[in-house]
Amino acid sequence: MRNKKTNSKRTPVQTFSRLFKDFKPFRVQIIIILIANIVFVATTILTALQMRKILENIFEQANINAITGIYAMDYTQLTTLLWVLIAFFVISILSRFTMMRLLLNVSVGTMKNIRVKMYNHMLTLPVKYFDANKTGDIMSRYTNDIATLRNMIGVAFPELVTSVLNVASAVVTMLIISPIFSISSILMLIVMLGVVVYLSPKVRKYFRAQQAELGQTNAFAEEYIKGQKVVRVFNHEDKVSQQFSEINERYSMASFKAETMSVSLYPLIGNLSNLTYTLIAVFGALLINKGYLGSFAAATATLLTFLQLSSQLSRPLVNASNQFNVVLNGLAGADRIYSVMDEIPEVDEGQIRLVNITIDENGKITPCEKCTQKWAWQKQLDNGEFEYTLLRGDVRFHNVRFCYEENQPVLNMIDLYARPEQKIAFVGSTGAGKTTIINLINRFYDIPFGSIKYDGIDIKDIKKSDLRRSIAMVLQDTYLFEGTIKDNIKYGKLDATDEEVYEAAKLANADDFIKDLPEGYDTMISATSDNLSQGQRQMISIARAAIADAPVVILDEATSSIDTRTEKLIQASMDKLMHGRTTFAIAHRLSTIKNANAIIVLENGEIIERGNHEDLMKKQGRYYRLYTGKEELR
Amino acid sequence: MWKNILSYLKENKKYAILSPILISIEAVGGILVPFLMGKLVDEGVATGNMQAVWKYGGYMALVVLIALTLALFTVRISAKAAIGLSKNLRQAYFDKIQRFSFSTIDRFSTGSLVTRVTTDITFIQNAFFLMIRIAFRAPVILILSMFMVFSISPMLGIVFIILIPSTYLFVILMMRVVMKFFTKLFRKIDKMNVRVQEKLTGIRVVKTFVRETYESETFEEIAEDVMKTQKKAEKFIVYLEPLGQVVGYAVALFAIWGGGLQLLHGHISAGELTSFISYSSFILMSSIMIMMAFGQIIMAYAPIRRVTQVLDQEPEVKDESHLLEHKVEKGAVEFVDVCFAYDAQKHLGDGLDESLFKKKKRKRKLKKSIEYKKENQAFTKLSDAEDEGLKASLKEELKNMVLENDDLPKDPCQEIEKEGLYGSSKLVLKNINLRIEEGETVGIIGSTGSGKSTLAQLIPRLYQPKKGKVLIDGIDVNEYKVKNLRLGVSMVLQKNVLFAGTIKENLLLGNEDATDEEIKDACIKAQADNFIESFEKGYDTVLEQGASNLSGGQKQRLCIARSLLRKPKILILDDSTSAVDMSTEAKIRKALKDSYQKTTLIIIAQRISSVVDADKIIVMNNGEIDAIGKHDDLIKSNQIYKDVYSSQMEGTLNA
Ligand SMILES: Nc1ncnc2c1ncn2[C@@H]1O[C@H](COP(=O)(O)OP(=O)(O)O)[C@@H](O)[C@H]1O
Ligand SMILES: Nc1ncnc2c1ncn2[C@@H]1O[C@H](COP(=O)(O)OP(=O)(O)O)[C@@H](O)[C@H]1O
Ligand SMILES: [Mg+2]
Repeated sequence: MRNKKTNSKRTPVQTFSRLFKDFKPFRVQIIIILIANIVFVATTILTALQMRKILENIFEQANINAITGIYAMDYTQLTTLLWVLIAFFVISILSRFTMMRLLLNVSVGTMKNIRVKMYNHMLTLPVKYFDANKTGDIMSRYTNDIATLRNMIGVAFPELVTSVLNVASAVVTMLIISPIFSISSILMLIVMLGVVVYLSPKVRKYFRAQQAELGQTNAFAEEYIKGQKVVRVFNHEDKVSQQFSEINERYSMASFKAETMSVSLYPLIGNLSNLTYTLIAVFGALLINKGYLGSFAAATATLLTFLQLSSQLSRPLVNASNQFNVVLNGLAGADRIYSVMDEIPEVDEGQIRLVNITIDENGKITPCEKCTQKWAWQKQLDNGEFEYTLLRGDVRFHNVRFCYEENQPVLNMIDLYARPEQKIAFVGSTGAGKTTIINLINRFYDIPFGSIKYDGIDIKDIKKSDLRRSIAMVLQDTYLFEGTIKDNIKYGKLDATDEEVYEAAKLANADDFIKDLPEGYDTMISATSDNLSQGQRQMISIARAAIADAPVVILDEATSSIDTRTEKLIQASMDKLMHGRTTFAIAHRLSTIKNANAIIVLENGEIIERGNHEDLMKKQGRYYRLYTGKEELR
Repeated sequence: MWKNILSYLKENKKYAILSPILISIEAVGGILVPFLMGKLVDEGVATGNMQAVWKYGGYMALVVLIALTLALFTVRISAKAAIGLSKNLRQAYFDKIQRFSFSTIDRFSTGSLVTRVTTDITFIQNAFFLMIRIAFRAPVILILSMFMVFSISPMLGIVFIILIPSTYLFVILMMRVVMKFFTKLFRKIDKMNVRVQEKLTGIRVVKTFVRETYESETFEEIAEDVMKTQKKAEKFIVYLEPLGQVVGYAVALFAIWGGGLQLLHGHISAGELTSFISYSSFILMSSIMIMMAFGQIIMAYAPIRRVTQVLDQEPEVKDESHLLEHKVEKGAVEFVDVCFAYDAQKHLGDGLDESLFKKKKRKRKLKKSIEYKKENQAFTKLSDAEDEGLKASLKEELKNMVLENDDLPKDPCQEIEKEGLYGSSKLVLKNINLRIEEGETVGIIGSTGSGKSTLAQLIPRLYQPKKGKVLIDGIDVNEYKVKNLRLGVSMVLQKNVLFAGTIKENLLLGNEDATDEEIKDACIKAQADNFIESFEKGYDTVLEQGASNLSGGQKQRLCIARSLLRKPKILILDDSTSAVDMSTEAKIRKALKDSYQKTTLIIIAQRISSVVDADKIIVMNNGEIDAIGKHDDLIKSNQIYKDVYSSQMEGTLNA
């Protein structure tokens, strides 16, 4: 389960077409943008033509003036021409403005949509995915890769669209004005396209490498900032700093290669266009001199317009080439984002739902929204009717085998059952597979062999969300989220009242210390900052599970960081909580599980003993020796 | 602020200076082209002089070739400068964090710190790269073009000179307002990212409580909010470009109209008018570019601010050059009148309102906690306040609060309690006096939150006491160089962290020079060797991030082995065996006892059995030492200890 590099084989076209799908919600705006763009380009060209007219007019008058020697001028014609020009300017500015403004909506909106989409998709991914990928690297997709995408959509795309339109129109106009001059410009266009086609795949590779390295940098920074205390304890700052500099260097190298290669395109095209400019000038002068282009004045005006046009052709090309790096970088970012979205979500083929029910005196089960005490599994039969199975909390493992990594079996032929309302405890040395068993019950991982039945139903047939809703769990590792303590407890039951929160906190014995905090239940906590002691955090996570009020409870070393005196206090109220519920508990302190209905002793992924405390003590086996401290686990 | 950042150019400084110069030269080349063009038209085309055509054509080609060579070279060095800058910044930034105090890290929050080191610095890199390529080029073109225009016709030139700078002045004035929006935007993005990151790490909790829908709904809201703020901020940037157009077009209009008139009056030639119009299009282009550069400057403001904020933080570990090179020789520990409180946390955000707090700290030393709370609330309100008017009144209110509470009663320990910088904080350790002799084994017992971990973390100076002293071998821990101190004091933290990498790499963190034998030996003592060897790849097994492929107890044992490799004089185990089963734990204790007799061992534990053999057991309660003694004494004399003991009686010692 190493970080498998999903080296995407997507072609740029595929990535683009996918991106265009994400533009869908903005169809109307995009159409307006395109229209505005066309107007913009059209006015630009019209402007050029208008300028030519004005120039011609001026040149003609100037010629006349030169001949007559009188500096008179015909204002009326010139003024109209100028007013038209001004109108074009205004339209051009307005259309550009409209375009940019709407584009902001589109780019920012698309960003938002992609963000939300990626987040939602991420939530559906199996736990396995999170085992295998560093959070820092996934995070980098939310931050860095989205940023590149943003640049591409917001900056490069409009530039490109404008450029394409400009180029197209310039080429057409040029062909109309003078096909001969056009040859040089079209040649340049071809050269440029050739360069782009030649460079793209290479640069793309570098940009991909750059974004991947950036992800690594992010992951490294996150891991070591989170683990700063350990770094300090071991005086490892220098070493870590050096490791970071290596990663940093790798990123910089990739970045350097990508940037120099892609940015070079800009001056390359820019100067090529200047060269073309020169060629046209010389070529044009030759033609005019040879008299191929008719009268001197007209020919000069044509040449000047043409030069203007050729810069109109080259400028968009130059501008487009300036976006080369942005586009390719954006593509690399998009690739990484889409590769998250392409991860296969958790399979959930289960159909059976969990519902609250009431039972009448005849034992008939009817679903009801409001009741809380009883649950049943609702299965839709082929004829559309519902069949209900009372949720009792009967869990059975048949021949369950499991491994995280191939050929390294973690659980072997596990057979076990928990009858309703029983408390089942797992005992065994660390690494025996206790947590793994529990992770199988709520389907964090799926089993390849054997089956797990819940009230007689294979858990694969139960809708995952309902399965998990039926189980309240305190995980071995405590995770709390940013927010107040109250928010964190409420996470177990979103619509809980304050009273319920206090109740749950009392049950976890957390009420006392919370009240002691200056801001009580409104104290801000977060996942990374540890302003609470480990035990206190654990108590909050117990309260969070308690408030969920689910029929099955799983406690995975729920009190491992809590001192025994406090634990004892919690124990009493927990027993109350567990009453009437099936409970699975893992604990190292045997005293806490002594009252379990069944104690299952695990070793190396196998069950070696089971029975209640008395049975096992009588049996004088492993548990007995453990309990009395006579034997030591491996 | 750029100045601050630019000092990180270091070895790339020459490139950063050279590239705008070269680019300017290249730009001059670009300007020369139309100039030569004008000549070509006037002297060549107009008179039919082919010689002149070839001459100027040749010049033009030469200029282009030189410009191209220069440009390609400049791309390289400007990339070197920009990427080098970001590389140095990133390194300096990361190193800086490594010198932060923990409360500072908490205050910034990991998520935000991480975003800054990658996203923000990348942003700065891109902005800088663009700037050295464009920001100089465009003004050079602009100024030269204007100069050329001026030389052709001073009258027209003057119009330009008035028109153009006034536009920029306007933009610069606007900039200040817009930057505020961006600061806010980044704050919001930060919050959003922190949320994503948390849910990524705690995905099991989300799944356990089936909160996927809830999460996506709340996230959608946050993302929506970010989007709105972003639109608000970037709207201005969007307006910049059309504004550049306006300037450019105005110039073009003047050029053609004014230029035309001049031509008609015979003041200028046709060729001059041609180049004149070319220059006006240069002005159009460069003024749009300058506007875009302005956009970059505005947008880079927030990232720069966020990065400098970290770089400017006072490091926790100060200059140590005056300290002597003593090492921890024996391992005796002494606490003298130690009081401690954590700095209460308040996320730093962008730090815009921090100055207010600095002032506040200076103004008052003491404060009743109730007022503190009010003040804290006021601050929260302030930082959330959107409306400027409300903000101002809240600020006023806050200032008054600060002034009112200048003189209050004094009690050394309580003083600390009320002195936190960012709000109230609770006293976690109160008047601790304690002696631990070298080679002793000391147990610490006490309920959750009683301050055990805190006490222990003062020894390797992970935190510093607010009052009183911690001495090792009679020397204040502050008098040791941190490196020497932590070489002598090794601590297994309660919250274990293993890093992604092989098991061996993780162990080597304890002691880089450890040989394979030493590693194995330490693992045998920590009872980790067995399970490590059971893995297919043994010591080369790769651990995932957070060692998610190990069970809790396995992680703890690895952490113990890692600390053992240091061969410390003082070894602290903070609840390091809670997930290890008891018999394994007993073995670990035995191994420690046998092999590390000279090592001072401090064991924080919950099980009495873990500390029963200790030379001394410290019972902590509510930040105070409730009793110190041996098991046999405490069991008789100390109520808390008795309670703990009886709570564990069953299941361990009877039968
Ligand atoms: N996510 C995982 N990926 C790979 N291996 C794992 C993972 N979680 C646990 N393991 C391995 O499975 C075995 C059983 O672990 P676990 O069930 O956590 O033990 P415990 O009984 O202490 O709860 C251990 O050897 C551990 O290394
Ligand atoms: N980093 C921190 N910032 C602020 N308060 C903290 C921090 N760590 C612990 N505390 C507070 O200090 C008190 C003592 O914590 P700790 O020393 O971890 O207790 P113990 O180890 O005895 O369980 C607790 O009330 C906790 O809320
Ligand atoms: Mg602790």
